[in-house]
Amino acid sequence: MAFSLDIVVRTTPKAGNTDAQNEDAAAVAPKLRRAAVADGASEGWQSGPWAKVIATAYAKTLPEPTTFESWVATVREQAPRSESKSWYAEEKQALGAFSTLIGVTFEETKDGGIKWRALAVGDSCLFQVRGAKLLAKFPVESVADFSNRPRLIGSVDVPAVPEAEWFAGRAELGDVFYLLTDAVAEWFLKTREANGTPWTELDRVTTSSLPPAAFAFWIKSLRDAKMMRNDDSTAMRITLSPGEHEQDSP
Amino acid sequence: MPYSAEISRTNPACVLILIDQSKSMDEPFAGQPDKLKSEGVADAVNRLIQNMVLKCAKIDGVRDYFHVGLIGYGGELRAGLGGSLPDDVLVPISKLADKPLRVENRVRLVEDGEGGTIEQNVKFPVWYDPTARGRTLMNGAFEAAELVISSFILSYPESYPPMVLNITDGKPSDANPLPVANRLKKVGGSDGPVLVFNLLLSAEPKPPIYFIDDESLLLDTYSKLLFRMSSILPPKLVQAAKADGFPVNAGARGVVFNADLVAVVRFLDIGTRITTGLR
Repeated sequence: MAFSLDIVVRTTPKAGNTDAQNEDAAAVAPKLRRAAVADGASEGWQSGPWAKVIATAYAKTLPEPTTFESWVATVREQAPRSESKSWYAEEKQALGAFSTLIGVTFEETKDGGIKWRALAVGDSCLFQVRGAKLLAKFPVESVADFSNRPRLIGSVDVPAVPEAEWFAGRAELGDVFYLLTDAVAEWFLKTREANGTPWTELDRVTTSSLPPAAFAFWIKSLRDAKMMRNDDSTAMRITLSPGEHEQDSP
Repeated sequence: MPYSAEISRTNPACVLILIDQSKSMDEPFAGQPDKLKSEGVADAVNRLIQNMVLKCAKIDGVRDYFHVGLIGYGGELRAGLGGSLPDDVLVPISKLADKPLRVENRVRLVEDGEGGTIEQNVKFPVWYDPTARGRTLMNGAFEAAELVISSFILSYPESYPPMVLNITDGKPSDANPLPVANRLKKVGGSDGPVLVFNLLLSAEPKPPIYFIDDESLLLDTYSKLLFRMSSILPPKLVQAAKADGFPVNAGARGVVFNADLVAVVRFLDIGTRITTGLR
């Protein structure tokens, strides 16, 4: 079945930080039908650029369960480096940069359907919605499972590469997939656990016709109402649509 | 819920370190003939400041998530990181980051990721050198702390509750500091009262003990005094301590023997923790 991905990405930094200090990252490869979101850990060094490297690497080269460790080793070669001008820069650079990753890739099946595969390290999440139904949540399934110590991919050799989680399923045209960093994902699950339909609100503020500022404004209102943690916040909405992509624009 | 305020540049956390600089700190530390208690204190203080800086250091600079102060007590009360008592003892952490007295090269053991350890050369910045003279004005130091903390709370009423970290060998010679410590533990802004932590460095070769909840485990009067002066850890810190591998129970106090207080800073949440932690 010919299908394509309609992708909208919206992001806003933690209140008090500038756009340049936002350590979330996203990358898409529509022709490869692949997309990823990564969340750089605030205690790391250059975690934002590292998150970008990881998300982009996923969009370019798909890791498999058996090759994940060597995939990370290759990605680490592109880790951001900077000249250490102070004792703390040197120390933090040695400790490394850290990031979560959630990536999803879509393929046609032999029977003409659509299948998807996802990989997660840490608490950036994927949700699959069909109509009014939440079909999949991955890897975090409930609000209680969030903590400030998610699994992270480091840019240095120590600690070792964490285990990734893998998930797969079937999809249909019209399905919507959301890749969300933890603050937005936590809000999503909290709203769902209270029997709400968080995707309705998310769809409204991730419409491509609305300016990105609308998303930032919406996040701010949730933070002000203490309904969302103050953290870098990113939402990627992927809609499966009929038709083929002409070219990639990662 | 108390102790849940976000630590940010607009609402920084206050960490006030009280350091015993009395003559008795010149005794050997924990049965080690070649290491003095005053040197143990200096290492503890320097590691604390180093860890706070590392927690706040980003590629674009050191963010002022902490305002840090140091009051030394040995013969007289002194503000140790610049400034004067009682108004400007506290210094934003970025001001300390670039101005250690010197940066030493030290070797430390780190996990190699395969169950073993490897030696690694590291920079060890030094802001504070060992000092030992005169009497132990611990009560005076806590009274000075009360002034500093009250002034901080007036400026930052919504900040994470200030933390007072007292490092001593435990024998006050001016007056019993328990009443003022108990007073301090009731002072606070909107996020809860001040947290008082005590670190006791002993001359005896006792193993490190962290955050006990039972006073009867302590045999001497001064250990019991420090136990009583210390805050009961709020549930959020008990949870953080457990996550860091400390076997703590509800009712545990902020008291540590023959170790350091770096853990206390590591518990503080300024965002996503990296798995290696900072040491």
